Amino acid sequence: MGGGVAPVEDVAQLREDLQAPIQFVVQVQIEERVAADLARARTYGVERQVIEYLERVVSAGHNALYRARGRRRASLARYLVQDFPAAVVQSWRHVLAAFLLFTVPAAVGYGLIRGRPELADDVLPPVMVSRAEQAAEHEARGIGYAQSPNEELPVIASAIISNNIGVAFWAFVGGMLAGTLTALVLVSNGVSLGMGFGLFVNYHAGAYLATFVAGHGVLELTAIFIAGGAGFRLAGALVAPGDLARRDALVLEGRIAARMIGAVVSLLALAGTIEGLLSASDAPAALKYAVSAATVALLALYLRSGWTYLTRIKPAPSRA
Amino acid sequence: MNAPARDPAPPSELRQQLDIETPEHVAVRLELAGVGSRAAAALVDTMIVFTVLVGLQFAAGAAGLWHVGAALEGWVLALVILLSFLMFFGYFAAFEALNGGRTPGKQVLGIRVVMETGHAVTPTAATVRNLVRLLDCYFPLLPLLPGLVMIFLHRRNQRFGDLAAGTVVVRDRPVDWALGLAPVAVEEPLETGPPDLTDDEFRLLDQFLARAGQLDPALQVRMATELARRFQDRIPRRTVDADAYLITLHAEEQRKRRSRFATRVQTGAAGRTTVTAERFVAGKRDAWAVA
Repeated sequence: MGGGVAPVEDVAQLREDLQAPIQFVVQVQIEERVAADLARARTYGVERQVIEYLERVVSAGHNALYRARGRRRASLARYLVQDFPAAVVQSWRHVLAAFLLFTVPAAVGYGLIRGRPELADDVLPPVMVSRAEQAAEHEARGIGYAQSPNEELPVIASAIISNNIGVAFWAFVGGMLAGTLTALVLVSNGVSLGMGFGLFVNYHAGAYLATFVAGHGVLELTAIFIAGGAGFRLAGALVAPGDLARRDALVLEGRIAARMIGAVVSLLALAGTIEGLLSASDAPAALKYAVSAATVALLALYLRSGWTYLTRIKPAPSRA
Repeated sequence: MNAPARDPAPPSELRQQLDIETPEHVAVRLELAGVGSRAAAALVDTMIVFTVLVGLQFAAGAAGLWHVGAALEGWVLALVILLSFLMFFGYFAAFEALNGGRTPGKQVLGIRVVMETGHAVTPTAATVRNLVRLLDCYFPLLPLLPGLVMIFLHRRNQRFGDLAAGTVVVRDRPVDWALGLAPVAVEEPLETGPPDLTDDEFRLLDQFLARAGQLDPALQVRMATELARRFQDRIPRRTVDADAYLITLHAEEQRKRRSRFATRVQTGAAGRTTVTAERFVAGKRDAWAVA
């Protein structure tokens, strides 16, 4: 077991901690007395004003005494690097489900476009088709996909972050509709990614698109999977609440899902920054792939941090 | 005669209540906010968000007018997009988490978000309920409908976001905090000894006298005689007139019941403060003020 005695960093804090139990007992006594008085006041039919006043006193005391006080308020940094990834690791099954619901349709979409290239004109947006057509020509001239003048890069970055967060949030919120909307978001995004890639490969420009996607793609896709996983957590509470009442299960799962969304937002912010500043720039492909590899390493570290945190606070983390 | 119910049924209420039982087994009653006030609060908040977003757009436009240079302009625009986005998603969650469950709109309408257990809303819950706002208020093709329908139909007026976060929206009742401090003068009853009648008998007498005027005269006389005969064994009768006897008896009994020997609970008429209640409040005022 972890824990043990924490080193005393602050003597004043320690003194306060020692005082707290005494004050607490006094508070409990007062609270119990006033609560009993409230019950009596109701029985006696005391004026409404008095009852409302007592209710306020009792609920204020109730708030002070019985609020969730699991641990000290953690710093934002600790949430970012420990709580959020821990929630992701804890929900690996849900994230895996989201991953499969994205990649399988993506593979199918890819296969479809590769097998029947003429389908592209019907199902894909014309902008994309024309982009793919120009891709080979662009590649020859050394211009990247969605490559933009340098001034516009920050705008693109922030627009992309906003857009992706929107998609991720919808994947999460879709959990409230028993996961149907989550699945829909994942499948549709998977299919369009697969088809897009198929299209570019058809035009012999697969590597060209891959260069663009490489820098940010890992983080972005992981974030979408996590958001989908968070949605499935909510859906799980609604569909199979187990021993709990649905409403209680939903609240419990919602708490974990909220932390997963924290991970989603931090990953997407990073991905969007890379996407806007690097992927859309004319940086050499080698650099883009290097960044891609770096993001994978970063992601691994991130999840590892969550894993160690999880195993420390809970000896048997596999029973999520 | 049937014993009257101990707790008279309260008059049917249009207000919706949520009872939260404390560990002391006392219910704290919260008044739930209805569709109307919640929609109005949302309207106020939406207007604020909208105004800020428009302001941000103007700021971006101004940056263009000042010819700050294309590179810088790009950054300004990027900042505007991010801020708008943050405003859109963060406004509700941030205010609810940091301002005791109240956005400015809720503050104007006098409502606030609390946990189902009556506790202050947690940051996590504020985040969850406002993420799910996407479903409640921005559902494609049917914006606002899911949220409104849920609030309207749900027993605790919870929209999807409230369900996921475990929160309810309640009305902030203005409370007279001075109540605990100001003592009121309660007339000191004379010491007259314990009451002679049982509670049921006293209630019977009380009700009879209250309705005596409306009764058929013959019936009234018969009942008065009967009641008087019933009580005269214990309380000596000094007049021949049954009515006069009963009236004096009632007055005396009432006085006795005000004295400190009367410890039994009287069920007062709903809304009227009973003698016991008065004494109870008077005695307890100081203790409550401390709490």
